Amino acid sequence: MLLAAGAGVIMAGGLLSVPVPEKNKAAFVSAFAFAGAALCDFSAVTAFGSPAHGPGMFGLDSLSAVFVLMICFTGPLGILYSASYMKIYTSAGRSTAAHYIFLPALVSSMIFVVTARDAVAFLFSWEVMALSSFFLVAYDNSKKDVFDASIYYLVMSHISGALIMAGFLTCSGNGFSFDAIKAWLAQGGSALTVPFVLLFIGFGVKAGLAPLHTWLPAAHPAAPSHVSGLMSGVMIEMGIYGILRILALSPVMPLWAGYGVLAMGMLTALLGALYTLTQRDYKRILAYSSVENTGIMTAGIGMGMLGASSGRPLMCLLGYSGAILHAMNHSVFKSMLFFGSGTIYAATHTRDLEHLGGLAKKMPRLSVLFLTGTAAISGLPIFNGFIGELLIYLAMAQAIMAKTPGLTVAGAFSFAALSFTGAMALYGFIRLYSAIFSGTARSAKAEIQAGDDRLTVVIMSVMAAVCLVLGLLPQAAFAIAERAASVITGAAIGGDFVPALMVKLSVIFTAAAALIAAAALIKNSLMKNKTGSAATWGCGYRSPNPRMQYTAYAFAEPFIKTAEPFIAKQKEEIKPEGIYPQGGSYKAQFSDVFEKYAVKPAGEKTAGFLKLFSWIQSGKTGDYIMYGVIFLIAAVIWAVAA
Amino acid sequence: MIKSAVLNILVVLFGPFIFAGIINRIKAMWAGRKGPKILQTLYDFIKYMKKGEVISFTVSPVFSLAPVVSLGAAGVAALVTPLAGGSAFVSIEGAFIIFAYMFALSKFAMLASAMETGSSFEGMGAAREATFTGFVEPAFFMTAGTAMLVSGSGSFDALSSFTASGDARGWLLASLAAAAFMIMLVTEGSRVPVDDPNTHLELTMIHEAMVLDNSGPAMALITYTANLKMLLIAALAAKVLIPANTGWLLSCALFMAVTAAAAAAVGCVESLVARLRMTHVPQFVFFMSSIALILFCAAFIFTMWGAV
Repeated sequence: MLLAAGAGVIMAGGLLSVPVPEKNKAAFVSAFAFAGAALCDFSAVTAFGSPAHGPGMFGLDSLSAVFVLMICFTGPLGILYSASYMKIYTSAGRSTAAHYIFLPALVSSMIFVVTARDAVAFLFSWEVMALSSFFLVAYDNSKKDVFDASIYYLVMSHISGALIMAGFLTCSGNGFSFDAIKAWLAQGGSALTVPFVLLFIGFGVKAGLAPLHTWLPAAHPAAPSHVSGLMSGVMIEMGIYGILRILALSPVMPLWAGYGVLAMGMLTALLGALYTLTQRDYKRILAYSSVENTGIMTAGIGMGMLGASSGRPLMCLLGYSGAILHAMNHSVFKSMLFFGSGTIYAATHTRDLEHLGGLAKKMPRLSVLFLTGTAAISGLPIFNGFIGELLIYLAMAQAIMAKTPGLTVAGAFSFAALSFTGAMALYGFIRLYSAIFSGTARSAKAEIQAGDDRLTVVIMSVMAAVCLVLGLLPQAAFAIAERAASVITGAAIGGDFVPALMVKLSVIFTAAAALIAAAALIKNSLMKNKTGSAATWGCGYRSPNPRMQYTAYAFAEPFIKTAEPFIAKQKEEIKPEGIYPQGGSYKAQFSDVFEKYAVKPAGEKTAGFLKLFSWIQSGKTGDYIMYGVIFLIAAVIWAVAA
Repeated sequence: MIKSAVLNILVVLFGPFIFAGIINRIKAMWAGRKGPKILQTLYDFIKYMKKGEVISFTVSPVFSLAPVVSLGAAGVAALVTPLAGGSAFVSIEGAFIIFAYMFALSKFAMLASAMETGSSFEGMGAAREATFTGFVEPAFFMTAGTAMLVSGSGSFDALSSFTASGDARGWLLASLAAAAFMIMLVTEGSRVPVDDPNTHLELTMIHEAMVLDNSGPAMALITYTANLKMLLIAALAAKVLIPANTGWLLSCALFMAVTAAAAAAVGCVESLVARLRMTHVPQFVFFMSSIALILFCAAFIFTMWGAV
């Protein structure tokens, strides 16, 4: 009840904001959002103890509660951040009335999605979420690429919606409430597998699983940054939630399903990480990184499923709790990085890495926070990203040690694949950070006035602190994830293995962090009067200029060269000619192999097929009236015949 | 095991200097020189620590923080690595993962600091380092996974299980794993044939190019960290090769012998082999992947159809 009130307050903020003047709108809406989120947080925290949920259309259990906490943390911060980002539109005289209706609607619809206990309520909330996010993406629709991207997004999210609807229809023989669906799925056999496959693909599209991830790198750059942050950090995780919820409603799945989910997850993670290295638009890089992280979560889910079907509770617990924890962590650092990138865009008006550089001097605080975010998202220890990945690794280790042919091979290869994903992600994020913040400005666009945006710094500091605290106190984070995982497994697995490990890690990491900080302080104070400065060493060259810096492309080049078969590279090269060589240009572009060879041809084929029916839309009013008449006559005949 | 702990503190503090000293001595011997003292790197370390620093105008505070973070991360890796006597300071489940991610954190700091300077040489070095060590990662995890498969344990103690049965098959697996770790050592440590630390052309350097703008105490820390990392990987090879039931004293002696042999091997390779062309380095690193894959397949067959 309290939860519905909270979500209602968030949504009401948007509706009531219409008469509020433009410059106060964000503050007004976020005040409502924070108040509503506090109510939701309260009811989510109290729901952790109680395993069961009420009989109504909406209810809370631990799994829902974790996701409610995620939404209610990032959601209001995103709305607050919009106060800073939307200035670039309001200063140009654009109206934000509709934007501020849909933004809280997105947040509260997500709360309803994760608390729905009935397929109809779920689908309704899902649709509100999909539509409100579409309108948010399409905010800047006077630009053609934004408009195209938002239509692309709308289509993909409806493919996802249609599959989910079909999935729910195939398992609603006993009714639409989740309890009835659970009873239906308990029959097993095709009554279980058909809905599961449909729902998995449907939710997978939303979560960004390859090969249907292509909407992410299109939609995220087009949307305003706080919207991309909310979509990438929280909304795509609704897909993960959906998969987890279906698993919670299903009996133990057959082994092949677990292998399939694991393989999909690993493939997605590898591809997503690979493409972060090829892009030069930083928001696209972040979008591909979401694809990668979705893959990691899905791999964790796959491990959990394998653990359940092979009767290994520890592996099951590690897989599911790792996936949930990674989802939690991702919602924090991914939104944080998107907020940071929004501030960079607002300051420089470019999303091209090759035009940036040297912002660390201009925005010192933002640069440190952004670096924290990149370390966390690369899964580096002492930050939260490591813990989720560690649990998934440990699940894979359990699979290796299971000593059955299938599990061992799957475990070993995904163990190696996940580590390679991590290596690529680290590489990609160092590239992202250093191209934006390190060195000197590569173009006039990056030569901005120095100064941090205070609101961004406050918001990102809060999020960075959460990343650090969850990383240093992994036992607390795990306790939450474990509760949520117990909803899926049906009973608490417990055991001392993970909590003991987490406590050990907490001690080691905290000590290490303290020592490193102390050492850094000592070094700084000792070196204060002994530090001189000079120009960067350029092989003795006296007048280096910014164009001589390494570019973002060059930084990724050694890797791209080795990985070329997996990347669709198009290059246009004009060699300099003549005795005194002149002219010459080189242009390289990378596209997504799935986009190029699967999604685009499929889309074109479908469009070609639908063209066959285009004569229906003739544009003549007479024809349309005739259609109406035909329809009415047919309806009457049908009614009479029945 | 207080004596182990005391000994290992000494190993972590002085081992890296001796490791580098042995490499340099061996190289000098091949070149027909007398060579520097074994502890010369330690004297250099002390000398650098007393000096001031010159840093570029371009850098942000990340640059001076990075060597400390890098060393700290390598230090945590040392905490979980089994050293002399076969035991680690902290024996922990999932030690392989923590070890690899601490190395990653250390690398992350150094890559960030290299890019801070805006130098194209350092960018080049950083890009190569990220690529080559990135390819090491899956091979390392494959090797670790094999050890887990054979031993049924997720801590570093798993490594000594290859030789547990004492038969030829076990030693075959152990030597494959040790070979994989040696390739990892030269790649992570940026030694020949991946990178030549003695080269004087910035365009061909990897690790050295990344630290062109570091000086004074920062340089001292960086050198120490690089040597420590090599020592730790050599310690993994030692753990693989020394049977678990060896007595403490003998085990410590064998540890010293194996790590010294690893250093000597690096020195010999460096004296006798030329650095590979940059485009061929990935192939060399993939060699480790192949070894890891063969290791896994062999161990898989042995465990599924007959004991190791």
